[in-house]
Amino acid sequence: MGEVIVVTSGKGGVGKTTTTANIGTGLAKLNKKVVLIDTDIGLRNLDVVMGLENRIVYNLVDVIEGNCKRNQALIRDKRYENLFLLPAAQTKDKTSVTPEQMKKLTEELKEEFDYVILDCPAGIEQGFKNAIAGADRALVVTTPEVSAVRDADRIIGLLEANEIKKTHLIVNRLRADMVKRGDMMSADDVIDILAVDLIGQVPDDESIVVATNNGEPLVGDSSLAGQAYMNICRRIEGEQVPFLDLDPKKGIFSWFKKK
Amino acid sequence: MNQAVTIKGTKSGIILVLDKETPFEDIKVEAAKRFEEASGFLGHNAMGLIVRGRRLSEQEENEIVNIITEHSQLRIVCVIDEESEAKRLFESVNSPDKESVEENVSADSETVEQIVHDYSNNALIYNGNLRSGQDISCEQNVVILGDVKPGASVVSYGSIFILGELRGNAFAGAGGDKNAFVMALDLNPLQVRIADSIAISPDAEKSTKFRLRKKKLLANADSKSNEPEVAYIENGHIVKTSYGPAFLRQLNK
Repeated sequence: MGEVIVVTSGKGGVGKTTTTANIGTGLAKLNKKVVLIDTDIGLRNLDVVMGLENRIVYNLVDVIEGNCKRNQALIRDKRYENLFLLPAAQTKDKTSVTPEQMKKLTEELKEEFDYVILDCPAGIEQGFKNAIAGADRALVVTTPEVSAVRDADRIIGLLEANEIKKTHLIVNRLRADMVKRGDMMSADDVIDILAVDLIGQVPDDESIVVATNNGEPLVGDSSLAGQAYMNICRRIEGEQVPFLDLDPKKGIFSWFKKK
Repeated sequence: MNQAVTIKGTKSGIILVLDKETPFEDIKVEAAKRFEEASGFLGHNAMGLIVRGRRLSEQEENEIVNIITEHSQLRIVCVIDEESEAKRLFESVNSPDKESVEENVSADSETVEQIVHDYSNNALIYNGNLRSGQDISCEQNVVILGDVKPGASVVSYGSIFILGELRGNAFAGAGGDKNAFVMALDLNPLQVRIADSIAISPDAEKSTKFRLRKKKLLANADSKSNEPEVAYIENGHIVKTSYGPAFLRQLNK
């Protein structure tokens, strides 16, 4: 029996989709059978980040409406054969799916997969309600900015109200130099405000932009962000992994040392 | 070698091509033999029958149907008189003042697919770009005076003509017409589907794409390489070529 994880944030643009793609790929790298579901109907982009947009024939709404069989709509990843994507429809809107239908779908999928990871749309409306309907666990992504933290707080409240107890925080786009100068909140500051457990901190890394544009998740590679995402995957698996030191100077130094 | 009887299968029925010169008695013997041979392959389905190559009287038609049911497990549910059907379609499409002789001649040799083609002999014209999330789907041919962006899609029973760039999805011949094609000034789609074939854009060159596109813009878009392109079905696969004299010759053959 698998686990259904929803990746959510409230605020847009904090890195939900990138996180979903990287964590999904990372777990597949750890030999888990994973399916990613893009629930952002009408504004899909998980397929682009995964580099699979040219393979889409059927989508989530087709599955819900019964236009195709579930397995026809699942797109197998081009790198990992135990990783699948169920893309969102682009020509419909969030109301074409109900929370009950999503719950049924995720329950079917978790019989077959180790992890069902849902990429949640921004906002707290229907799309959010659909995404969290069947979730066993939530990963709340935020950036160290007051606006994102405020929204994350709201989201955590809503998750609790919907009885999703297992909620963890990912602080994205941290800049160690700015934190050091005191110009940016550190991950610890964010945790103090939100009072949930941290499961990962990801540095602001240029290689993420490149990887996203190329449709190749960078999880597990030598970049700091790649390592950070891999660590999150291992923590999801239940391993105890110490947090990375995100200081880029030290990071580069240790990278040289490794070589 | 010219065979007296040839059997062709389609999704909805079988086409029986009969030689004009051979006496009908010989045809009957030959047909019996052919259906005997092919009965395993044809299975026992209910099918329509289309007779080509020679005109049969009602009695001859009945005899042929009897032969088929005797020598195979097929059930012939109807005999489609292609000629009169074609004539009717032509008359409804063409104005009656056109030379009826010419119509008859072409109707004689036209195939079923061609008739489907003629049925969609008009087009929907769309003015403007189709952006992500927008889609057009209709039974006629489609002409788009604009670009089709990634995430947008065009679906048509006939052919699709994009006087702009195709970067999204296009599905021509959605009703099964394999002669449908997709034409665009710049054919660079995520996916092209024609009838039941599907072609996707290559993955590999993704990382170089950005650079290439930039280069293209810098090079002031040398108009020479910007030939219109067309995707169509050849030997069951979707192929892409430039929309030039070679393609047009093939199209109008």
